[in-house]
Amino acid sequence: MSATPQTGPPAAPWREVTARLLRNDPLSGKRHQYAVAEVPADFPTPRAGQFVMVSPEPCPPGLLLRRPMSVARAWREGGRQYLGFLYTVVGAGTHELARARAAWSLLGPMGRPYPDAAGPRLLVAGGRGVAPLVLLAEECAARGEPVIFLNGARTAAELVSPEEIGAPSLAAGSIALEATEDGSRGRPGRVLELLEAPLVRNAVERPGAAFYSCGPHGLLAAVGEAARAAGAPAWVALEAHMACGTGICRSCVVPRASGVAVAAGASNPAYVLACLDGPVVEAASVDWERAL
Amino acid sequence: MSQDAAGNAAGAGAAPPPVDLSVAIGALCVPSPIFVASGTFGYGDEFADWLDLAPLGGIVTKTVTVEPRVGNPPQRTAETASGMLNSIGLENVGLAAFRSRKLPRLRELPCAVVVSLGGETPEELERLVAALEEEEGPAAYEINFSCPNVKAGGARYWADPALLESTCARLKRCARRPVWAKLSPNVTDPGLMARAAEAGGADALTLVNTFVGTAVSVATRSFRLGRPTGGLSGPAIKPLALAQVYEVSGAVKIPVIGIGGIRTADDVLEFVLVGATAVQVGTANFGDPARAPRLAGEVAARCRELGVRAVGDLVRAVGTAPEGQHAG
Repeated sequence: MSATPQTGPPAAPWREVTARLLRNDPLSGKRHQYAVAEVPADFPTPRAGQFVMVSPEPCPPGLLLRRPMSVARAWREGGRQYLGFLYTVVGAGTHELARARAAWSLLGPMGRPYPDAAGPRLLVAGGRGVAPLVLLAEECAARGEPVIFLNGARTAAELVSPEEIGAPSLAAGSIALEATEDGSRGRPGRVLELLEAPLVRNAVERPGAAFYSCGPHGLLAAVGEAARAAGAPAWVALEAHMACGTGICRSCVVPRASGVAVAAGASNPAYVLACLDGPVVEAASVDWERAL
Repeated sequence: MSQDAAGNAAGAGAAPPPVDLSVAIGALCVPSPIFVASGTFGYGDEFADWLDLAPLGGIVTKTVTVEPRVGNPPQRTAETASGMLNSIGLENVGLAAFRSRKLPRLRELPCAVVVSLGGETPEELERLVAALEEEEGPAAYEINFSCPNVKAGGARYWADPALLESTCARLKRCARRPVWAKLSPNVTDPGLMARAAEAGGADALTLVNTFVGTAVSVATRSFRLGRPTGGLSGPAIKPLALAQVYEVSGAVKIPVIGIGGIRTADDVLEFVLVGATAVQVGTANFGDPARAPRLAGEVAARCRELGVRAVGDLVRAVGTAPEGQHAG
């Protein structure tokens, strides 16, 4: 045997893999797409809140950039690993992703996941922002931890429940409530009005309670406000335009709140970088007036 | 199918001589003509732990300015057909943090590090060069005379041949390392600007920076970027960039480093054929950070296929396609 030492760079913090698509089509009756992809068994399992950078494989010649996508499901079966993605076709990139039949190329997993909580977890989802919260609920269920899952959207066609994408049941003792602004499903009104339900209100007041949210920035701002009033932290997953997802392009900036201490290692005093500082950040670290 | 012929070719002769990818950009000799472009690879240390950067000719860092800059308001990027608009606004850590936090790691990289510098005045650029002259590490300076996304010290400010020439001369007086001038394509006469930089003593020219462009959302009746315009990069600009590299490399004697939508080995060789001594990969790094390091091997393989022994033999070797024969 040669005595040459192993050379080359150490393992990457993220990996590029081909993800074979098992399905990639519109959810029945919904405005959203759902894709299930098989990734190599040794691909680091994304944690709730983390994202991957995705492009169709093969990539159409006119498409340059990957798109960031949060992970809605992650499970293993028979030694294989699968990921589920809930997304909406909004532009050329997602249009091409929806057309892909065979595979996506994935770079990831990236970003900071939702942190733990000592007390009750209040999950507040807006529209397709439900995706990382489904995975968070699944992680909690695997540990037997109940959650309060408040799921809202403008219409029934935009509201997707965890079971509609095959997620396992919430842990015993969980509460799941739905709301739509047009009243076509669940309680009529905005999702945060569900906080007024007595069981939910009790949970918010218990020590160690924490809010977890993803959705339009208007919702994240409101969740931050509700959490502040309750003296609880609010962990929100930001959505921003990204070119790379790796911290290089500096695209995904979200205005940082002034007067909030900038975390050590944060790369820009004026902006939160969604890919490196987030996508999950404390709501209080964002200047929502400028971020809307 | 002639198994024998193929077998003989491989068996009888020794392995074909390796393709010589090395290039000399003035006094700077590097083993590969492929660099990564400023602003598309961070400062160079971000990927160093997990990508083998040795196949690169070098890294051009994010543009460093005297003071830190937080950059432009979002939205900062938008994809367009075969292209990408950006309006980053020279976000960077500033000179002091670059010296204390970035340079020590950059010295350990297995490839040349070219530091991109941006200034609002000739004095600021001189200050940056003077400060870095005290440091070990940089192989050259690339002066960003062409950022389309800042008001002060942006492409419009530097689009004055007399100012460009005098500034290059001033920087050359305080730099013992090579000074490259990165030029804007948003000018009527790129050759005029190139000659001005050459007359000022620039050791090489880098072009093109991005073309001013924009994109509009009909749904919201607003610009898609946070500012009305940004800079366009990617394959969409490759034909424009090739034409400018051809024009400029015919107008000056100093080396030209070509940029604009490079992703493949043939892209690299096209730029070399129209006059680039070396090239930089930019936008392609965002989708695939390993693209540029992999390109060196792909260029070597393509040269072998073409019977080219040294990539340097192809510099400005373009001709017009023979009559009746369509170029590939």
